[in-house]
Amino acid sequence: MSRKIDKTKMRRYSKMVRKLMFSFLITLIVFSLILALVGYIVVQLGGSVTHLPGIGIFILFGLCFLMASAAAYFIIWNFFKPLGDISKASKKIAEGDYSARLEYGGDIAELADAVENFNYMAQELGSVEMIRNDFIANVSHEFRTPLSTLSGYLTLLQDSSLPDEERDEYIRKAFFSIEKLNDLTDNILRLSKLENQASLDEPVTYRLDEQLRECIVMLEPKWSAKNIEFELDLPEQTYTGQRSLLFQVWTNIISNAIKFSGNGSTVTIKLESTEHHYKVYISDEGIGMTEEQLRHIFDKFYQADSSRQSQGNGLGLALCKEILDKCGGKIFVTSKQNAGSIFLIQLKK
Amino acid sequence: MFNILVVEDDKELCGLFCRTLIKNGYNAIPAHDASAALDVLEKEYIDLMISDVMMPGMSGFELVKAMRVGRMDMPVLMITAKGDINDKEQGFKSGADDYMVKPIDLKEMLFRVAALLRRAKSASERKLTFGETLLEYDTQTVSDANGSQILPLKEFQLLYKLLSYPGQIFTRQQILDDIWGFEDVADSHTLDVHISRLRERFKKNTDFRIVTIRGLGYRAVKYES
Repeated sequence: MSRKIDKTKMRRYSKMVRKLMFSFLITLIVFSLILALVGYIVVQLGGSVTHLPGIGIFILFGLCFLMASAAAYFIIWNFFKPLGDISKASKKIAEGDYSARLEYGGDIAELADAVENFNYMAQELGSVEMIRNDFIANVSHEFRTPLSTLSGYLTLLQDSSLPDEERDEYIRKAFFSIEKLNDLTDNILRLSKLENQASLDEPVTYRLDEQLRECIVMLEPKWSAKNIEFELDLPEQTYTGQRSLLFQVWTNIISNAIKFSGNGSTVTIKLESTEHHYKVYISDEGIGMTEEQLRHIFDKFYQADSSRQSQGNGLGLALCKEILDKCGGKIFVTSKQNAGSIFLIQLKK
Repeated sequence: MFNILVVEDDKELCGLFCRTLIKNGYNAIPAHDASAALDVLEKEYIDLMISDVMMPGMSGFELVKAMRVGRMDMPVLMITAKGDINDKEQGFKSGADDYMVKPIDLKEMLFRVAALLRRAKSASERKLTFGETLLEYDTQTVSDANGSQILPLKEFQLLYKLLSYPGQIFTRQQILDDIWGFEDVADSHTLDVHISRLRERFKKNTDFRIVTIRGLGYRAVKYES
């Protein structure tokens, strides 16, 4: 413990010493220069150095000291203090206080920039922290809900006199909650993996149209249960990119289309090729979205159905956006309430 | 009675699988890691193996690879906690026949086990039955209530594939790759012709129908009048 104190004390002393030494050095240099100049003038005027009165030297020294102090003060105020402030503020941020901000009223452009950028960094760190805290709070909440539902139904099932119909219904609902938990876990894992991955996998060359078909085939149990038909326009197109990540995107968007469509309706999927892009249009005739909902659909945990009775967990589209951002792709939506939605995924060739 | 080897390090889960299989008329043999599994495989005749991927020591993938190298051809159903498609590819590449993701739906597990055993039987006997229709691989013969026919190779293979996985949609590309492979320069039109020929041959058959899913592909389904 005493070592630390010594170190701090030393640093403070060294700062003061540094300032003093600095002032003194400047004084010395200026005094010497002035003395040399005066001596030179005297010599030029024909006199000798011994003509200079003693008091004059002291006055001169005094003047030099004042000028040197002014210079030192100037330097300390404009350089050492801002640096000291930056140092203090950085320490605050390192200790978790993201509210630390700096002010700078001086003229030095580089320092003004440094202070501005520091404040910007502090702001970004602060918002990341807030997002992370929100995310953790949201995740906790999202897990608690199906868990408590599950617990509830199991409690009900403990009643041995329950009629068969009710018992079956509760069991079914319990399974439903478990499925939700699984989907949530999967999505959180995928999202986390994606956000923490520094670089992408090696791009793969494959048939984009076949991938879309594979995805539809994989989702068959879901769409055949609702008698949904597909209108497909998928010409042969070869694409090089993040194959497995994109498969997740198609899965999410197509299963949303199925989920929000009514029985017997049609889902249309069209693959287009332009000079620089591949465009995949996925549209449905389902319940659509309001403008308010459209604004938030890519937010994490946002579910358009606020009663949360549906299968989703609000992370699917957030995951899609994250994937497409990483792959250099884009996603657009148009939708009208009760008139269906159209998702456009654009990929760079 | 079929012998099914269940390889799972989580003892509760292993017990659960075994109990379910026994309830459904199978003989279930538990193993808690790959080396125990290999011991069992050496001593007993196993018809099918269910194996977890993540296990201490040798992983499920490595176990299956070792089995295939050792010429053990029985069907393998792999179980994993991860839902990655990459894992699926690795699973199939290592020699597994099917793949399920935890948490396991026991009903689904039983369906898949039954389907795998049926396919293995038909592969070993080189025969496939669908309702009253019988396909015999060695003679390329298809017999049903209306009589017997000998089919040209590609037609037979196509029908065999579709009836091996009833209800499963196969895309045109998948069928072309599988039946015609990369040797022949087959195109969409060839496939269309084969499908119509099959439909023509079996238009009176009352066991199955070949259905077109527009834009996607084909599948064989149980005939419903």
